[in-house]
Parts: sequence; structure tokens; C-alpha cells
Amino acid sequence: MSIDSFKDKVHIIGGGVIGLSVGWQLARVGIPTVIFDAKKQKASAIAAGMLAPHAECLIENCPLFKLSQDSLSLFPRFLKELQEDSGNLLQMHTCGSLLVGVDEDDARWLERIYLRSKEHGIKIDQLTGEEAREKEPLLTPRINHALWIQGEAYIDPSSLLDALKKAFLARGGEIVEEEIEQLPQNAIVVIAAGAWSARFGLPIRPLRGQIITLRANFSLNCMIRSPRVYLTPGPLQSIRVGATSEEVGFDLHATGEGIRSLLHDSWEIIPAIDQMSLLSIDVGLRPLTYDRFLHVGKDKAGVFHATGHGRSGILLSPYTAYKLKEEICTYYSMVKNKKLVKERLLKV
Amino acid sequence: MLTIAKKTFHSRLLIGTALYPDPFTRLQAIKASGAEIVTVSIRRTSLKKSSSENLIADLKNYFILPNTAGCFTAKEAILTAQLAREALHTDWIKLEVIGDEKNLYPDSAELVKAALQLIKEGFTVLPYCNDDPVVCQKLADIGCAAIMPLASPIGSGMGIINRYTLERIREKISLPMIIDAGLGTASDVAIAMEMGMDGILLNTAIAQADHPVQMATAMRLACEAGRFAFLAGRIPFKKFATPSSPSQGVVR
Repeated sequence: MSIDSFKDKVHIIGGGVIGLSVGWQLARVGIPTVIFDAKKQKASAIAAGMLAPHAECLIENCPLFKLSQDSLSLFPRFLKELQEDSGNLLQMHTCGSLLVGVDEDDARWLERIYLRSKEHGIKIDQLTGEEAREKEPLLTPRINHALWIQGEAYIDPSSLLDALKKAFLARGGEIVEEEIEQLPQNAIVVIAAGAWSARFGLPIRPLRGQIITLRANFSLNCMIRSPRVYLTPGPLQSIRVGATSEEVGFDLHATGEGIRSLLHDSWEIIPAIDQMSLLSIDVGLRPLTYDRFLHVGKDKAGVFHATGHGRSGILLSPYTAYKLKEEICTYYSMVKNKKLVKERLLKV
Repeated sequence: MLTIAKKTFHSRLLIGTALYPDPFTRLQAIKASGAEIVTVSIRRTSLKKSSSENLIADLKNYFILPNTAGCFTAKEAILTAQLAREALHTDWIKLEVIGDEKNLYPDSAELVKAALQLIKEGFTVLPYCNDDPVVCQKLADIGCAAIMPLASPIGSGMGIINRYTLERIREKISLPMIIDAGLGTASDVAIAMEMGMDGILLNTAIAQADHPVQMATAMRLACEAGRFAFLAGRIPFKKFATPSSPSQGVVR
């Protein structure tokens, strides 16, 4: 980076939950920041918004467990600051996760998850079918046992994105709606373009997820998962059913197979799915790293990466925002000081 | 040494590439298994730079065996094999034609039909088939390069559920015989190899293990152990004990 032509503004590529979170946190401490938003389909905009690190870890045998837990514990602070800056009161709905299965094979899946919970020291309760239906009466009578994880939550991602955008602008941030083809020169750059970070040479691959939103006269009491599908309550008595995981490149089409399996697999657990109206079908591309660990930090060339969050972008946004805020602030003052010193010496 | 269609491999394991937690673990697990042949399913995808290329790039040091997983008719399978030949420059194909969505059992009639056509078109065909001696014989007779019967349903981890039929197939068929599906852990692999199988194809048992790389190592060792035990010739089953220490000169 040439110090002489150093631009004061931090340039963030990507206006999804990660780009906005990082940008807002920087703007909040007075660092001028501009976000370039290519107006592509944001994975975070269609996410289910589950803040469920335990269920996620147990199901996926996930390497991000510690980070996810840390990030979840940062959420209350994150939302409080967000309310200060945006005026929007956002709620984490702490409703718990119910893990269910319908046949013998699923029972073994639950058993395996239960064993894993012991290994990881995660508190999890075994429920009978009856007890599970007390938590969620819509569950099919076919369910004979279930696992219950208390304290897990969800948040509505689109309200989160709205509030982040509002807070970012209120703090003097600038959003430019254009696509960046090449990395800006002579500026501090943060690549937060999700799956599209790949175009800047980052080893990120898109993992397509299809998700449907249904509406009924009731909502769910908790988040529900089977080995094949999850259902989460959404705003205005909606239910989100997701999500496929498909390695098909940058293809944002919904498919018959995807929707059929989401409907079938959710109907299998909650037969009332049949009677709900289909509000929307959404498709997003999750940014997947080669080994599932995050791409968050500064690379050799001094470019910051904020991607690779896979299916946990919403959950990991506070962690990413606070971590990068620290790193970028330090780097920013260093570069800025160098520039000031140089300018001063030139005047002498 | 495993020889299929005049091509020789040191490892008797074949590894599938699906269902791993991430590509890094996949590559590490394949390395740990010692396998030379990896099988990949063929899907339509954009020819622009995309994720699917990464898999092939990752696997550049391996012998790639495309498969027709997900096909339900001979027609689909043949088209998939033709696409694979174009895309991957190989005429080898692991032919799968599924007839039953719940159990993923092969549709034997469609399978034979597809195999006949592909062999006519010059493919080296390795069919995933039922553990049915008659179907296996038929596939061998029409010119398949190997036969790959299942041990139990794909991904079930039940191990060998019909030892009898697999033994009958082994007796009848001198072509390479590879157990394709259903094995769950190392002992299943060892047992199959002790039965005189030429090779084993594994995917779920490794990919979905808690520690895929460790399981891949176990599978490699089990495959070798089973093969050596088969070659060494096991002792016969006996009803009563035979002392293993000499009985002469016992101190009384």
C-alpha cells in the first residue's frame, strides 16, 4: 500500500450480515467506512437465523463450536449496541431446539448425538414422544423419542440486516451499490463478499441452500430438527423450512428435488405442513472454506478477510465484527500515523 | 495387486467422495485409506469456474472412476456415462441404476440393459449390483470388467447380511469382485477380504465416522489384514479343542 495516496476510508466489499456488522462496528468507533454492496442474493438475508451452536455442533461435529459459543454470548451486547445506534429493538427468541426422528435409523442418529453431547459436555435432555409433543403439539405421533437443548435461540435475519444497515448509516457509514471487480488499491480492504469472495482469489466455495417459508395460523414453539431438515419459527407466524446443501457452483436456482425434499421431510415431522400456505422459496449460496474453519483476519498482503462462515454467518456475526474491529482499528491507526509523520516531514 | 481391465492397482480399496464434513477431511481421509481409485458422481454443472472443479483438482493424483449415482433408468445412466467420458476423458464407469428409493437397491433389468449398451460403446463397466449370483453371472457374461455386489443397502453400515450369496458369487465368478456397499466398520472389511473378495468400495463408513481420517486408516489396515488372512489360509472350524502345547513330557 502506498502511504502517500492512502485513502482514509476502510473499504468493505459485501453488504451482507458480515460486511454490515464489521462496517457498523468500525463506524461506531469513528473510522470512516464505505461498504460496496453488489446487490447479489445475500445468504444472510434468507437464512433461518438459528443461534444454535449446540445443536449445530452435535449434528455437524463442528470445528467452530467454541467460536460459536463465544459469538452467542456476545449477542446480547451486540443487540444492545445495535439498538443504541439504530433505534430498532431486536429480540433473540430463546425457544430451545428439539431434535426428533421418525424411524429406527433416526433413533440411532439421536443416540449418536446424545453420545456426542456427553463427549462435549453439552447438557441435553432425552424426551419421550409424549414429552416432545408437549413442547410442540404439532409433532407427528410417529415420534417416539427426542432430544431437547434448552436455551438455544433464533433471530429474524431480515430485521437484523435492516437494523445493521440503519445503525451503519446513522454512524456515518456510506453504502455504495456497485459491484467491485478488483480489490481497491491504497485503502484498507475487507473482503466480506460471502461465497463471491472467491472472485478475489480466496479459497471459498459456494454451497447452495434452498429454504422455504410457510405460513399458518399458528407458529412453532421451538426449533425442530430431524436428520434431514430443520424448522424454525419466523416472524408473523411463519415457519422456515431448510435447508439443502448442494455443491453446484454459483447457481441460484431452486430445484424440484430441493423443494420436494424440504416439503416431504418437514411434513414427515409436522403433518400440518400440508395445510400451510407457501410464502416463498429462497436460494442462497453459503461461503464454505476448505476445512470449515473461518477466513477471518488479515492476509499477507494486508487485506482483511471476513468470510467462510458456511451455514453460521448470522450466529458468527458478533464474533467476526468485534474481532475485526480490534484488528482493523490497530492497523488503521498504524497506517494513519505513518502517513501523518510522512506528511509532516515533507513540510519541514 | 488388484487388476481390473488390465490396469493394476496396489490398493484394494476404492473410496467414494461424498458426505465428508469438508473437502479437507475428504482429502486427508482418502490419503489415509491408501486408495488409488476414487469414485465421483457425475452431475450437470456450469462449465465456468466452479466448486466442482475443485474436487477434480484435489483428486489429480488419483485414478478417477466416475459413477452414475442417482440414475433410475438405463437411459439416464447411459447419458451420464457418456457425459463422464467427455468430461473426464475416461471410459471407465461405475454403473449404478437404482430401482428403489428407500433401499437404493439396483434395478437389475435396467442395469443389464445399460451395461450391454455401454460395453458396446467401448466402456469399461463396473456395475453396482445386487448380491444375486444369477445377475452377477449375467453381468460377467456380457463383458463387464468387474462385478460390484452390495453387502447391504448403501450407507446402512449393516455389513454383510447375506454371506451365503456372496460366497456363491465368489465361487462362480473369476472377474474382480468388489464389495460395493453397506460396510460399516473395519471388521466388515476384514471379513469381506477373508472371503476372497478382490476389493472393497467404501464411502459412508469413512465419511460419516466421527473421525473420518482415523476410520480410513482402520479400513486400510483391515483390508490388508483380511487379504493376508485369505492368502494365508485359515484353519478349519472344529467342534472341539486341540491343545496348542505338546502333551509329551508334561510334569505330573
